[in-house]
Amino acid sequence: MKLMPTCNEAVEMMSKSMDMELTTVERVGLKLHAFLCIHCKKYWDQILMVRDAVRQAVEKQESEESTCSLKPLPEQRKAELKALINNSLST
Amino acid sequence: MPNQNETSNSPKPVETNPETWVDEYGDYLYRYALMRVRDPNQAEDLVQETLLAALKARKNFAGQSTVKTWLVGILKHKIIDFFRKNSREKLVDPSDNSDVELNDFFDKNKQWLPNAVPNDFPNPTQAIENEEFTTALLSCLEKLPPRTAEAFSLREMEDMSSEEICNILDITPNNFWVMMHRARIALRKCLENSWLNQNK
Ligand SMILES: [Zn+2]
Repeated sequence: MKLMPTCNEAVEMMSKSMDMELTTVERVGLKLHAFLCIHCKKYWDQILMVRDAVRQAVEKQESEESTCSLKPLPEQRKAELKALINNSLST
Repeated sequence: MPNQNETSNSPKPVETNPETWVDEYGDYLYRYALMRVRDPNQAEDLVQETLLAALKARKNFAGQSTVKTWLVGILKHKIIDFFRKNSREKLVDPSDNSDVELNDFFDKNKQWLPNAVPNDFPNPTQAIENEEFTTALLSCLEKLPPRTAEAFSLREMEDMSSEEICNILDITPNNFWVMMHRARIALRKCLENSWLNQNK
């Protein structure tokens, strides 16, 4: 069994390691590959950066600090929803 | 013991007036849904389902949280139900050719193809500040196969475990990590393109 994974295998393991536990063999092989291969090292840094950026964007939207450039609920739908609510309150 | 009556245990029922919900929380709920399902019509429908469910259940709203937190909690369930329904119905668009082709990234020897090698991209902090990042992210997610995008949303936006997601999407752990890998490799590439082009 070879220890050094290919680039293809290495990037699969990088993603896998973000969602579940790797085996010891996988972990060692991945570390070794990332140490020797600049492309895969860069890839790893960047997918971690993307994970972080997604979380920050979600936090920003949830804290209402910003609208995250998303459009508001269309006025027409708002009017429909209000009518719907008033209707069921009066019955 | 003069204070005993004042520290009564029964909490005052908190009134929330449903007539104000649309104006107060409509945009917030809509953006919350839009970020996760991306389709505007679907996001509108989810807001409607949420408000109607809240209307029915408002007697149960005990005021332990804010009205907004309570409504978001209902919306989250509606979004998960929507994803679950999609996968139960095996909703596959026949015109959907958006599957991520891993052969576009690696050669026969499993090395990076020259045009797939990761380029530098700018630190996203600035893009998040400028709100460019969300726009780019949502349009990149739109290019993924729908269930792959759903798996990504649940994992990275809702921070759910792989077990929970496999259950909702009715997939095996093996399906799940392959989907996530495809999502990440395609998103990274797509974000690289949109940032590099924007920041040229
Ligand atoms: Zn490599």
